[in-house]
Amino acid sequence: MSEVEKLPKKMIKLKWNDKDLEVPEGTNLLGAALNNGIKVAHYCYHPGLAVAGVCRMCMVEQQGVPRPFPACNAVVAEGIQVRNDTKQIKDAVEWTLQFHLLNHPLDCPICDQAGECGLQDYYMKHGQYDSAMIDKKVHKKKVQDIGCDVVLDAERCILCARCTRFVDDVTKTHELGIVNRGDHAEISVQKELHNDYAQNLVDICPVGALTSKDFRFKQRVWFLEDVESTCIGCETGCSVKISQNKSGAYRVRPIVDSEVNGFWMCDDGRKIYKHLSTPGRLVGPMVFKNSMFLPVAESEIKEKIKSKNIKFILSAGLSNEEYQSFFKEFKNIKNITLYQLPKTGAEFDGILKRADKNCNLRGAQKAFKLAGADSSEEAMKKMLDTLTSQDALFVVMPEIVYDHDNYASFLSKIKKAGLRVALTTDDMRSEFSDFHFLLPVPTFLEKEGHIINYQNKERKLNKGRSYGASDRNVGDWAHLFH
Amino acid sequence: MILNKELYRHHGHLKGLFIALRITIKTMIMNLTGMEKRMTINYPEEKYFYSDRFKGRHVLTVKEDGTLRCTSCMLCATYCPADCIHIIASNNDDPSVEKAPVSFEIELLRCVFCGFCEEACPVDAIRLTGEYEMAGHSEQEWVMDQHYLAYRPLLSGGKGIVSTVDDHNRLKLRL
Repeated sequence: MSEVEKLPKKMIKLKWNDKDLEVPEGTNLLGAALNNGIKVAHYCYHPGLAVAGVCRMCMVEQQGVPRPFPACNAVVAEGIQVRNDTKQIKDAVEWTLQFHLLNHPLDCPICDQAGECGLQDYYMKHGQYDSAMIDKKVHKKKVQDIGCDVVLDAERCILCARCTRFVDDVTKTHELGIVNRGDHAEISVQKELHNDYAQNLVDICPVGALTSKDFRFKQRVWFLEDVESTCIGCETGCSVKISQNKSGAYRVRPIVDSEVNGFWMCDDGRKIYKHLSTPGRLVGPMVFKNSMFLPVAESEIKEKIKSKNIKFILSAGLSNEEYQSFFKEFKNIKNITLYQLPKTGAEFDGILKRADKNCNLRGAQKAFKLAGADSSEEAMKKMLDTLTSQDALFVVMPEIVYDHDNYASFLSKIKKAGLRVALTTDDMRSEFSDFHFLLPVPTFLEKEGHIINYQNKERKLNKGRSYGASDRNVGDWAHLFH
Repeated sequence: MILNKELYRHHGHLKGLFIALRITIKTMIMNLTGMEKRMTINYPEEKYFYSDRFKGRHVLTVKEDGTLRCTSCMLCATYCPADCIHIIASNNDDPSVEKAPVSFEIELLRCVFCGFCEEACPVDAIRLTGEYEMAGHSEQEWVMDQHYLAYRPLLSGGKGIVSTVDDHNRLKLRL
């Protein structure tokens, strides 16, 4: 941070309609209004992108300026008086919206954006209802798969250029552009999308032109409720919201968080919801019998582990509270180590993604240190090498695995233990046939807690709907040993 | 309960009975000779046909090529006060269709026949018909899937009810 940025910014007073605003110097005029809770119609303005000024929806009048101008293309100045509630501005917005809708297809019944669409929202407020269009609509290509699980419908596009600015400014991969003129202008895909942040395009598209192939037609958005939580995909710990309802979890989207992730999140993080509501979620303890997992009474597991030497391998994806309760409950057990997911990909890709995929490694190390246990990889390897048939090995499974080869080699090493029990959320992974018993533990969305990210910052995990047995976390299974 | 107590008090019970029977016998003769229209019909040999406004068993209409008109927009399921419509949408390979239901089920036992689904539908894909005869034993018999809703033998011999509502305008305006 340079010296200039450190200085507190001068506050500037201005008037928007009849409301007095006080914002730091250099703020965007539209941004100043939106940050102060004033609702202004806009499509192309996005606080995380460069200003384009193409949608013409945020027109305002300023005292002393002869013509209306778009607020997103202006910067606040001391004492200016801005209005957007005059008849002239209302007319301008109505006609602009009609222009946007001239060639827009009536796809709302089959469009995934319906329910959170900018066109629908502003049409209710600024719509003219009777179309002045007498010509046929211009048709463009629908359902284009443009790579990275993004589907483009050129007809629905209103050419706000948010997506082209995103691939130019944020990912700098330049896959998209706008070609042709007038009503023939459309988004052209110069090359297939090939960046790790492509799903953000779906979020920032104010209409249904870019939709996600993964979420496509699974649910209507008004059936979903958002739970705010933290991404467990890597050590960055982005703020995210997970959309879910009683039939399952469906998508993950970023929350604006200036301290950690800004406006975006990576495509790997979008997949963290997949194991939440799989049909294989455990509803109780299971035993591997006749080459499948069957429900079993807890007393049977208790009987089996009685005379064994208990050993534990924890994952680096539990919350701080879970580590705490675990070490409190398992005070007597000395053989506890930590399985860390190996680093995958570049150390830091320059935007958000980091190679360390353990979302709470720092929290785990802290808890291990406090309890006097060794959290290093060497300790785990040593434990794996010294396993005997007299051991009962409990493994807390990582929720998300990226490097499957490393994971498979880890699982092949534990076979020396006489009795193997996995604490996991679901039985979908075929590797689990190496285990004798499965015990259910909650997923990251089924528990309250905190994790520590790469900045040593505490991030909150929130509780959403539950799709399996989630009332017992790792520490609560201690009653099996008494 | 004796309706006309005065009559019996005045004439005594036996005489009163015959006086009261007069109207029964009169109506019987009128009905048998066809001098007066009967209020009842010989159901099930004769059937009563309700007007088109009657809200009975649902129908999914089909396009001219015989496929379902439903685009699985879920507006009926959203609007349904009884929560009895269950739709699973899927991708259709035809870009002019794009979205179509793989499963469309209505639980008749839950349905209150309010007709909100018919009103909510933007493409005239669901209608409530004059079919009022419904009987069944197990609960499964009351769940109608899309094959039954659209192609049951009663509907043009299994071909379904073709709807072209708005199609003409749609094509003309190319909406």
